[in-house]
Amino acid sequence: MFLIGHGISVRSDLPIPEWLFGWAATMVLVVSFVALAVLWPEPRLQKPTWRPLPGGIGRGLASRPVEIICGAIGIFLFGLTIYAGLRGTESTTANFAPIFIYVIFWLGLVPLSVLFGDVFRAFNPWRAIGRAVAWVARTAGRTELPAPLEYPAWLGRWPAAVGIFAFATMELVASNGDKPDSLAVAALAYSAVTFIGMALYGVDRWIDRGEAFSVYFNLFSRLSVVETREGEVGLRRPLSGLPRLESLPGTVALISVMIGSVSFDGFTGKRPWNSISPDIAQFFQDLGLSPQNALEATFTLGLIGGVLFVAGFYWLGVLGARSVGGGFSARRLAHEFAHTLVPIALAYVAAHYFTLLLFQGQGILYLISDPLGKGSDIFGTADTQIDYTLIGANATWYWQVAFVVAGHVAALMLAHDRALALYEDKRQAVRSQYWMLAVMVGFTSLALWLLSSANT
Amino acid sequence: MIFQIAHAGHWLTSIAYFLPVVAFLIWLAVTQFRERRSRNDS
Repeated sequence: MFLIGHGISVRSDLPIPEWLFGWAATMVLVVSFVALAVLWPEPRLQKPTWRPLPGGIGRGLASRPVEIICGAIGIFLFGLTIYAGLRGTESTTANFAPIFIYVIFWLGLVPLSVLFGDVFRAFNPWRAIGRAVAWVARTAGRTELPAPLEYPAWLGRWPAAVGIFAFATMELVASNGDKPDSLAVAALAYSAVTFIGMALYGVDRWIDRGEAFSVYFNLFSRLSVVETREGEVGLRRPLSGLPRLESLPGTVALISVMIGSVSFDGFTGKRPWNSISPDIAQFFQDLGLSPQNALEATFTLGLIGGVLFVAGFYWLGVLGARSVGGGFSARRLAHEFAHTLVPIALAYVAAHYFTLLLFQGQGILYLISDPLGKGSDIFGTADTQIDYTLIGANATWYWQVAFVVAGHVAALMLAHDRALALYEDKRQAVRSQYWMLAVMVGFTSLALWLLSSANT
Repeated sequence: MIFQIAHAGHWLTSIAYFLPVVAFLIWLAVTQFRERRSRNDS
């Protein structure tokens, strides 16, 4: 006879157990894979398709006055965030800075990028300041500015990967990561690094490759049907933006950081982490660290572990795909399929954080009236309360499953299309995708397990 | 005799999530092994 200790906590009234949703999601992926193999015989997403919005709307949206207005709004919000962080209350929820940075900016811009394209590029305060300074210097000096240094090819998207990792460390590891003044100082420090990068390599080059948030939101914007090209906003075929992602060093690392950091955030709520982390923290304490530093070291180790796990699992799929032949190196395959991880990253972010955005995002309503948290009521909304009844636990779970499945099906489509373009033999192309399917199933199972109430 | 497994419910549920991945990877490895063997035999 077996006595199983503790019940398994589940959401109430789900028609089937949570883990069975994982199996169903796997079935959806397998059926999608078969359907792609049968119904999608030629690559369709590799060729760029784009047409401008009709009636001059595209040119108007991307015009210089709109660019200046958007840039000014970005600079104002950035300035307000810094000011609120330095001069406002130290309460995390009553100060504009933490909610704006972690919820409105970090999470809210993700769906906006997917829906409307690279929105952050228009509002990016660092880009706006950089371009304004360059314009003033050109006008005042009445000469062209000296040419910037050539951006080293080996650097690729590595600065962005490091930047996003640093932000994740601030969010998930640093004990003072939610303190308004710490956030303001971190934002100023990051600004200094960004301005140096722009001064060395040029504003647009650094924004495209090195500036972490520009690269991060640009990746998500490639899922959008909206794209700005040569000063004009237009529309493209769904998913056709990602295959055009330039294969650069650091891209896999960047997306691994994106998925790994979200995974680690979910993992910290699980029993295995809560069992093992005190022992790791004790180990660091025995080495002489203070309890707080030991805990931060433990979480840093966990975050690195999450990133390495995601990268390792992707490389497992790549090595498997290489084993079916075709003559491609593992490195080449890793680069060729890196863009397929972007919808997975989106699925992870959407599924893990959409309730946070939905609930804490409402906080901006009272914060715009009282950004410093000192009792002002500029717009008369300072007394607004967060409505936690917007969505229930079961509905949340269904949305999470939907996000995860949709993201991984999109990833499968991208991988299938790239394989058709890459391999001369179509059969080999499909066989190589068995391994990518395994990767997708693995990431799906991991996502749903992290979201579930199992082992919490 | 009574076997008492504390927290087994948690672990069993967690394992259930990852069974499809494990099953899929095993199937892939076996298929690839068989294909290689049949190629070598021929």
